[in-house]
Amino acid sequence: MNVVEGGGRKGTRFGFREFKKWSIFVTMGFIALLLVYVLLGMAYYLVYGLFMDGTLFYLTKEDILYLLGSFLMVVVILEIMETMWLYGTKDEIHVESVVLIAITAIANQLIVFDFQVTAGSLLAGAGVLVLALGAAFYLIRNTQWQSSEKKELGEKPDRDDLF
Amino acid sequence: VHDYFRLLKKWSIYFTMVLVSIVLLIMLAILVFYVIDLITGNNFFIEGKADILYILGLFLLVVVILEIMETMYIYATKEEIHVGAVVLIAITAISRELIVFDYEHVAGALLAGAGILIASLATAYYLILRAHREFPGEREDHIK
Repeated sequence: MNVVEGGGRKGTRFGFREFKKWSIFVTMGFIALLLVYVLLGMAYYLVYGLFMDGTLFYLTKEDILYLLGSFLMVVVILEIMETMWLYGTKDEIHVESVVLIAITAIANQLIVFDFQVTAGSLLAGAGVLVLALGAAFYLIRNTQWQSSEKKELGEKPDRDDLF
Repeated sequence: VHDYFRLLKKWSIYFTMVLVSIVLLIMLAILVFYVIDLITGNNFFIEGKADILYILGLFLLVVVILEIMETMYIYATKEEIHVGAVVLIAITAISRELIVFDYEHVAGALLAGAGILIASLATAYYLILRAHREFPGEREDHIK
């Protein structure tokens, strides 16, 4: 982890860390707004779209799947925020975390898939994608493990950066 | 700022869980009414198969929703997401669809695609868990 102490480093790096940090925080603020908007939208959909409409007992499979999709979206948004939080405060990006978030997002989409209207090639493509992401996670972890073993042995790791 | 973030996280999860449980209650109520309707109806034996598959599908959907709630609960309390669990839920959801599939009216390509999908999900699950076991990371992570 390439943690640069303080912000006021000499030369071109002056202020970059502050800039980065505040950009992250502003972005997180906007994502938080989006999250609140999604939550309120879900509540609105549930209360007005179903209770007030009188269609409560005609709740179809599509409605349920739509709501479930929104619920799962909340979790994905929170995960993204958490990753950004780590980037803003600890100055590190966990690539493997991002890969895992991608797997979570795809899995969430698969949970609310409507299999009646999808093509088989789409399913096969999603499968290949999930497999590739899983393999990528495995390989990234493997590489990190080997470079950390090198560190323990006192050797210089190949690269030392924030990822 | 960190406290605000954690508060936001916790409360959005709880809010979502409340909404999910409302949906779950509605679904259970619908299920009960549907079963009663089916039993008291005159044409119980005539349109049997499609109705039974529909009810079965709703039951399995209840299970999927409960699993999602459990994942959310773990996320809210222990602040960690287990990706393996999410992948397993996806497998459950797809299997649910396959159980209530109307096999007479689907193309073979769709089935092949679903098969590839399930195989890859299982492999991804294996790879994730194996990566955790063989190469435990030296840093704490919120998403596992």
